[in-house]
Amino acid sequence: MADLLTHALAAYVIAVALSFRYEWITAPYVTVCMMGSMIPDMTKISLVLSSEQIEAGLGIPFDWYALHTVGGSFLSVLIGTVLVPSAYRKRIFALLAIGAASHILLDAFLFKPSGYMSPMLWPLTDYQFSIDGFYLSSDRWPALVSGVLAAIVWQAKRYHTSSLDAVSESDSSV
Amino acid sequence: MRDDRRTRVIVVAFLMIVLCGLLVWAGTLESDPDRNEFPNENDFVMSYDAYVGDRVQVGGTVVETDPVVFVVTTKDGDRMEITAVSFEGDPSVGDEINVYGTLETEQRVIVIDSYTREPWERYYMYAVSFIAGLWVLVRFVRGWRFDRDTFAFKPRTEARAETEEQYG
Repeated sequence: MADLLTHALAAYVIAVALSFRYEWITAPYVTVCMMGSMIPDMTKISLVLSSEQIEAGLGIPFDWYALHTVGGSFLSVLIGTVLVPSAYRKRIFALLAIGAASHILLDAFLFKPSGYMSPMLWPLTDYQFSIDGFYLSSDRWPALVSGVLAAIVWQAKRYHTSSLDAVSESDSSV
Repeated sequence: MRDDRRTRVIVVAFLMIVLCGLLVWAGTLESDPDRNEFPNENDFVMSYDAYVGDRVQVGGTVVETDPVVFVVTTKDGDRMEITAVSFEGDPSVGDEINVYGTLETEQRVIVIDSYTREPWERYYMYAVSFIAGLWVLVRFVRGWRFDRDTFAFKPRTEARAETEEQYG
């Protein structure tokens, strides 16, 4: 995992960029995309209650890591989608899925000493693909880069919105 | 899907059960070098000899620097000191290292590649992640509200728009 700030900022950048094309993506929807980007890291519940504690307590195999895979994230996205009224469902599904996918894509480029990415595509495949990762989740520059990009799209959106407001009084702030 | 409270609770419960099933399934998977998933300390500490000569991926805390010796802790709490042979870099005592290499006799790993993390870097990661979580939580609470009648989240702006439509 990259740090969550990088993931949240990356999702913010994607959602705000999409809002130029899809005007219904207003601030609450941008937030949904950011929440989607945090879904895979729910696996960090293990820092509080480890998989081993659960295995010992319940006597069954268990691994939180499944949340950080395509399968676990997809189910989590579905749960999020069910928690909104049907009128919003397609939009929420799309934004949560984009956020979660951005997380998995970014994490695919994490540096691993073995040179193979984590089995994040499970259960589609548990093969670990060879990939040249180039950053650690404790590096500072990914958050800096995504922060700068976020500032750029935020400014661009403000400029875009104020020029629209000159024509009409539509509320499309992010 | 219907939008009433009962249907939503049932569907969410069902999806949660499927998700729990997935977490249990994941727990049954074992490392397999054929899939490029290498054994780690949880595998080799208790049956060391069986893994000698194999590629392993292992992380721990540096306790000596010349040569680099790090201590690994398994999920069951067992500890083992391992010497990282031909480790590149200059870690300090207390740093966290993660190495990929070949397991040798006498608790040694011939390092192929590795990374080092100083203790503060881990705290940095947790701190900014916490800030990000808080930021998104605040945005969520400001942008969305929970409707108890239907057990669903609705955007606050559109709820206002609906009210305005109804009451002019």
